[in-house]
Formats: sequence, C-alpha cells, structure tokens
Amino acid sequence: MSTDQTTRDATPEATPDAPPAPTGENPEFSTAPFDTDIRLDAGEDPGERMVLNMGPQHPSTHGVLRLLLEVDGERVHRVVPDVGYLHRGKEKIGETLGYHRYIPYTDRLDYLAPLANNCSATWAFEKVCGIQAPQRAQAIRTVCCELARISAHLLGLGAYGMDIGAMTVFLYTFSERENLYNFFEHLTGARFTTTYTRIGGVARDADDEWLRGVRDFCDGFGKKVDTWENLLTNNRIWRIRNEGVGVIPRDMAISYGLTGPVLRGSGVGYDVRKDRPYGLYADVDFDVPVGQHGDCYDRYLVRIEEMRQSARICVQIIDKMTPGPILADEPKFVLPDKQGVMTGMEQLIHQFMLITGEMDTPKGEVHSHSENPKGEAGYIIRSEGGAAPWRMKYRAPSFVNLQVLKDIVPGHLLADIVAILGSIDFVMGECDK
Amino acid sequence: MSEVTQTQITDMVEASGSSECSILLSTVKSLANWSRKHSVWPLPLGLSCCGIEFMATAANRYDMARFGMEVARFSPRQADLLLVAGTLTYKMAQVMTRLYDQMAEPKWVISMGACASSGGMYRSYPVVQGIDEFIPVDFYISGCPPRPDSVLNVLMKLQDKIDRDRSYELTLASPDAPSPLRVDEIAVLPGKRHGPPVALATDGERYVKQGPQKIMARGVKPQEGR
Amino acid sequence: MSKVTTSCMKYTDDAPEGVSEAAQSALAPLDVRWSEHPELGGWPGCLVETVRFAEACAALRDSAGFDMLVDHTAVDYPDRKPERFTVLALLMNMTTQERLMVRCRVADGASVPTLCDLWKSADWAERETFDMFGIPFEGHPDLTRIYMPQDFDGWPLRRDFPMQGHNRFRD
Repeated sequence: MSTDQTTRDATPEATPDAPPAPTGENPEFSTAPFDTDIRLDAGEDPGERMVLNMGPQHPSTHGVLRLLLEVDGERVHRVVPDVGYLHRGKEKIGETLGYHRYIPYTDRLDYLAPLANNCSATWAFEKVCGIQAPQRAQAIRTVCCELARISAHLLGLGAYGMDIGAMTVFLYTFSERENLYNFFEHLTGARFTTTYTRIGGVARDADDEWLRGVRDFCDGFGKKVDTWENLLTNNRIWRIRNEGVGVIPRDMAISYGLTGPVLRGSGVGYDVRKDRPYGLYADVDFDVPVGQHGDCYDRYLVRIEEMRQSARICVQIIDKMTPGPILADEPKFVLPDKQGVMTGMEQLIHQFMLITGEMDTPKGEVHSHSENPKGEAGYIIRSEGGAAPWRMKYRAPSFVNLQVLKDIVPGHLLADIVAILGSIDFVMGECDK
Repeated sequence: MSEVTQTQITDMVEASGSSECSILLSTVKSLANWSRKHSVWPLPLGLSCCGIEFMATAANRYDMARFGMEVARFSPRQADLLLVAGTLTYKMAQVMTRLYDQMAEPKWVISMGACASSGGMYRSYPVVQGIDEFIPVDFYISGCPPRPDSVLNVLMKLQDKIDRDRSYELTLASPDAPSPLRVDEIAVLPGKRHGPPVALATDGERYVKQGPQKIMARGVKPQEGR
Repeated sequence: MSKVTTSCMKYTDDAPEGVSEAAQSALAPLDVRWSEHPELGGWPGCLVETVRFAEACAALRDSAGFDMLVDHTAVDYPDRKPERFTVLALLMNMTTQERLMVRCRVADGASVPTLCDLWKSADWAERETFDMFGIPFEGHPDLTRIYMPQDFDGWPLRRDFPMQGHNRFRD
C-alpha cells in the first residue's frame, strides 16, 4: 500500500462549515471531489479511525480498482469501491462502429479470456442478424470458451495465491498459461487479443495438429490441477486465510445479482451453460460445482473444479468434431472467406461493403447471455436497422460482482481484503467497459 | 542510490579543486551507470491488457530477472522506471502524473502498447490519446499488446540508454554554459506525434517547466457529430 | 444516421407466450402493455407507466418470484417526443429461470422511481444509467457518477454526445 496516498481526514467537527457527518443516506457523502469523497463516520467513539486509500495503483487490486477504507487499526469498518478508472466507452464505440468492427474491442473487455468475449459478442450479434453459425464453428467456439475459462481461472488463481503469499502457485499457473497462449497463437495468430470469431462463424479453421494438441493438454490437465491443489487445498495457511472469510450468504448473492463462480460458491447452482444452453453445451456432459458456505475457500474450490470440468468439455467436443464449413452461408451479414478476399475482387468488394456499413439488420431487441469465466455476460441490443446497434448494453459480470464488497468487507482485517478481492476475481477492463 | 553517488562525485570534484576533473568523473560515471542499468526497479502501472503481458514478461518463461529488473516496486519512491502498460483514461491520468511526480530522479518512462502511446484503438471520449500528453516518455513499445519479447527488447534498449547517461556532467556543468542538453543527447523517438523530441534523463526539467496543467490543456479539436 | 422518431418495439394488451401466470397476475392491476413476442429472440417484456415502474417491479419480485435484477439500462431516442428515454430492467426468477424485461418511458429531466429498495444490485446499476444518460432516479441513496469523473460535463451514451472531441481538459 503506497503510504503517501494514505489520507487521514480531519473529523467533520474540526471545520465549522463542513457538511454534517455523512451516513450512507447522505448524498453529500460522495459528491465531494477526488480526495475527500469518503469521510470519517465519527459516531460516538471515533477511536483511532482513519481513511485509507487502496488503489487505483495497488498490486492486489488487480488493475485499477480503488477502495476507500475506513479502518480502526487493522479492522475495516466501511469500504467504498470506486471504479471507472478504465472506462473506455466501449458501448459508445460499438454503437458507432457497428457489429463487425466491434469484435476486436471485445478482446479487451475481459482481457483474461478474450476468446470467451469474442464468442459471447458474436452469439449476440448472430441473434440480431437471425443467423446461426455452422456446427464446426460452434464446436470450435465452445472449445475456445472453455480454454479461455481455464486461462482466466489460472491467472486468477496465480494472482490470488501470490497476494496471499503463495508465490509458487503463480509460477506454476503462468507456465501453464504460456502453453495455452501457444494454442491461442496457433489458432488465431495472437497471444491474447485474438479477434477470432466472426458473425456467422470463426476466422480460421482449427487444424488437426491444434485439436490433437488441445486434447493432449486437456487429458493431462487434471494431474496439473492436482499439483496446484497439493500446494493449496490442504495448506494450513491457505485454509486459515480463506475459510470463513468474506462469506456471502445465498440471499445476499441473489439480491446483488452475482453470477459465475461467486454465485455458485454461495450455493446457488445457476450456470447459463446448463440452464440456457448455447453453443454445443447442450450436447456435452459436465458438472456444475457448487459451494456450501459462500466463503473465499469455497469460491476457490469452485474455480478449481470448474477448470477440471472445462478440460472435460473440451475433450468431449474435440472427440465429436466433424469437418465442415466454418462460416455460415449468409452473404447479407457474413464476411467472405479471408483467402477469397485476398485473391478475388468480388469478395474484396463484399467485405468492404459489409465493414463500411452496407448491412441492414432486422429491427428489434435482442437479449443474449453466456457464461464467461467471471460470470454471466449479457448483451441487450436494440436494433433499429443498419450496420450498428442503436443501443448495445454489455452486462459486465465483474461490475455486478464487485458491488458486494460493500457488504462483505466490513468487519474483516485489512489483510483479508486481499483474499476477498482474489476470490471474487474481477477484471477491471470488463468492469469499467 | 543516485543521490548518494552524485553527492560523492560533487565532494570529489570540490576536493580536487577543479570542475574539469574528467578522468575521475568518467570512471565514476561508468561505474554508476553500470550499476544503475543492472538494477532498474520498475513500477508497473498495469492499467489493462498490457499489464497481463507485463506479468507474463516477469513470470518464468520470459523472466525479467535476467536483467536485474524483477524487483517490481509498487511504491513510486523506490522505483526508477515507470512502465505504463495499458489504456490511460482522463480519470486515471491524475493518478499517473502523481506517481511520476513522486518518483525520485533519475527516472525513466516506458509507454507500453498502442493505447499508452497514442490512445490506440480507443478514439473515444474518456481515453487520453497518448500518455505523452502528461509525462515525458523515453521509449514507446508498439503492439496491442506487445509481446513479452518486445518488452525485453526495449528493456535492453533502456539499459543502453542508461549506459549513455551523462546527467553527471549536466549536474556539474558551469552555470554560464549555454545549455546542458546537447543535440546528440536528444533521443530519436519513433512514433512521436507532436511536440519536440523528449530529451534524456533530465527531462524532469522540461516537465517541471511546462507543468502538468499546461500539458493537459492541449486537447483534441471538438468535432461536430461523429 | 437516419432519424428515428419512434422505437421499433410494438406493444399490445395481450401477454405473449412464455410469460408465466404468476407474472401476468402480478402485473394485472397495473395496466401494463406487453411487447409483441420478439422476433429476434429476446425475452418477453412489458411497458409500464413511469410512476409505477418500481411498483411493477416490486409486484413481480414479491408475487412472481423474480428475485434477481440481472441488468438495467436505458435507450435514447433523441427525436422521440415527448418521452425521450426508455428505461429497461431485466428481471430473473432464479427458480424457474424465467426472465422478463420491464420498460418505462421517461422524458429528459424527469425522474424514474428507484429499484434500490428491492434489489441491492440496483444501486450501481442505476448509478451507471444515471452516469451514461443523465436520468435521475428518485429515492436513490447516492446518485453520483460511477464511471466518469464527478465533474464531467455531459452524458456520454446519449445519441447526440460525440464519440470523440468532447475533452473536459480543454481550457
């Protein structure tokens, strides 16, 4: 924690014309400018309370989250999360540029799992156009989503471990992520800003070598998870730091609209892949892990098990995969094959027209939801025709999940915040859009 | 480290009774630069995606520790290198300038990725179109995000630059010297869009003279509609 | 960009297929209008009077089991008179997985009743809608900007806000 950003505010009584001591209901409380937007809640006995600023530049806030903490010694009494330090206006960009040109921007939403974002965006856009990707494209997308989930959980686990003091896990998970990056690079040409999906399919076909490689990786993945579990699951320190910390009861989780592993850690077995199957999830057999206590440790266990299940899904889909087209035959909405664009005039003109906005989508409202690593990613798209959505709302799971900090952090020690943040596992790129 | 060394040099020069003590100065300079360049402590300001690639650079496969740079300091007081990795928004810009201000001289800045260098793909209302609107930058890394290899490449270039650092001479230059910065000290910066090229290690001066507010005042011309 | 003076959504008095009995009876006293079954694959939705927005949501939560506020946003039609915005709230019933979109229309400057008393997630969701569109939510405990800096001037996601060129750091 950078000490020079620590501010210790004067109590409101100190200055005569200061606003009254704010409570949660007082609008004065956060309209104040940058440095003073949390003030001491003096109460009856202020004790040794001070306001501590954590972030936006802090190693364990995983990006640019800022937390304003009112602490008494090591005990946190109040927390005010402050987001928006990475707000890049993605929705505005999407409404301006249109469907095709928005896909690269989805990489940078949840930048730990770009492939999953590509897929969820194109599933939504395909609903708008009223088309469906062919079977093989759906299969590749489903594999990609699951690899992205593994990759996101690996980074989450590594950073979580490192924040709590288990440096070794970080090194293990990052080696594994490099293997995954190799797969992504082979398939898409980029390590993680992949821009892989297209409306109506995917950009390139997966070759047999790639599929074999992924299958081997997934086959051997369970053993690697065992190794990391050996380091953590029954580690005494890990359990003490996580068990009973940051408990989110079931009702609170639902009222806060949490989704993903955070919701399942609280004992609610809701998973979009099971409940509203999309892609090829209806055809595969997998389990949805659910926690019992809703604490950090349960969320950790849920993520570990999800990684195993993801590997299982990949293997099933790759085994069933059949050759076929990777782009739907819908020239009104789907870009032509890239090889054709590079060699043929017709296709070049076709691509140019679609990208520059010669596309007329049906009018209406579309809601699309998919299970991203962090939770349910949703699109609400209002189309008024044309090549761009009139309104595109992205439901960022990290944004919704972060809000719960207000309720679960108070009462914990400062060091527990790190565990809670690690177990909620958010990405600011997605949260701030 | 640097302050101590500079004080020592000044003492030595004063003891020798001459300000032209070039042999001693040269030797101490190369020793200091040598030790500096092998112990650059970065402050990784991981704003977005590039921060993840920076983590990959620091992790086991690319292993930044080979360059003596693995000690990532999250306190600006202890850091030599500000590595801005990711998209900078106006809301975050004041935090970044504050971090830069808090770093002790000598300090270097690397702008990692397209967003930090020029706004990248984000031509939108909240995004700063390049961190050089706020702070001077030594190196720009292209890519969205750059591969760890290119980060390592730039870190080695930074080491070369530190090796060529002549800030001691500048410190000790006599007051009536025309300008402490000579033409051959001006770094050629690829991809620089506006303003004069930024000079070497003592660029803090330029920053202090212009001030963040002045630099902030430069903006994009408003456009009608979109 | 062509001028859109009316939304593409059509509303009728009959509930479409897929809306549960419980939801229909919960909304029966509120005189809602249902959107025609969406051809593009959205969820069923309804349009309520602005002043009864929170009331309708409360009825859905208490008597039809819609216990999660999934999403909350607004749509802007600058040329639609007199009610420029449509506010959307997507609700979900965790038991049956049924979802329902509740909409209301509101003019520029007029406020919408808050949902904060019903769902905790409404707090940030409404702050986001306020930040992006400038729609005030009546009764919200702390209605301030969430993404943009507090002193930012303008509502970014309104259709007439420019994508770039709005620079608050200019003199």
